[in-house]
Amino acid sequence: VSILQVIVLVNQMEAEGVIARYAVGGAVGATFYLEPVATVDVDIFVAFREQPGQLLLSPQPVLDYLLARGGILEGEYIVIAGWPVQFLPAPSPLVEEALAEAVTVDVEGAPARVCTAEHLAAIALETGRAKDKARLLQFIEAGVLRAEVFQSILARYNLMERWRQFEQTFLGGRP
Amino acid sequence: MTFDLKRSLEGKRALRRKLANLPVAKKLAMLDALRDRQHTLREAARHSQSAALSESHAGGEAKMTGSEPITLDQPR
Repeated sequence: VSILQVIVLVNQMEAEGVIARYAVGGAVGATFYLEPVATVDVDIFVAFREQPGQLLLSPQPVLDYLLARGGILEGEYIVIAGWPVQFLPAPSPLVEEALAEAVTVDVEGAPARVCTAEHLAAIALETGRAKDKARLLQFIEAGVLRAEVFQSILARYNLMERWRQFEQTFLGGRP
Repeated sequence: MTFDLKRSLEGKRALRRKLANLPVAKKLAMLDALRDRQHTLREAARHSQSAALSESHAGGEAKMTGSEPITLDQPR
């Protein structure tokens, strides 16, 4: 079982037009920039293709595609190559931008599209669970964030106040 | 190895940096391995629990009180 198999299959799904675009997020996305972050699942943000005559976007074409290729449906997940994978439509304008501006990284010859470190950090701040805060701290400690890019994302998505609170709580007000 | 906390923390930071700088493919392979390990531990815990349950159903003496340490190599 391998995450790389998941990425290859999602690339194939995009190439065949089942989804419009994807970007790896969550702990797996963070692992592209940080030390490996143990996780039980793979989060993939997707832009679904609009189906003619349908007002609501449906994940059905994605499910049909993956089930036909050995995927197994388990609750909110579809298990591919042993990994529970969640396909998530962008839940906020910030994630929409993260999806649009995701970068392609070569993984042993396979292109993998992943959210930028700054977007992943901003999403962690926006989501705000304990594990997200821990991940944001990892990004800061690793020094992988481009400060100007990160600050401009925070400003665009009204996250400055939340960032100030985070700074005061975890960084002792350090800029 | 050292008992100097400052040096230990520096060592941890250095290890994290070293891991972060590995090629992405290697880091993803490490995620696969971490997940396999978690899966193995979960399965072992499940076997231990079902063994304990069947012992408690079998009769009084072997019943677990919940205070015993659960080890991975518990007899079934």
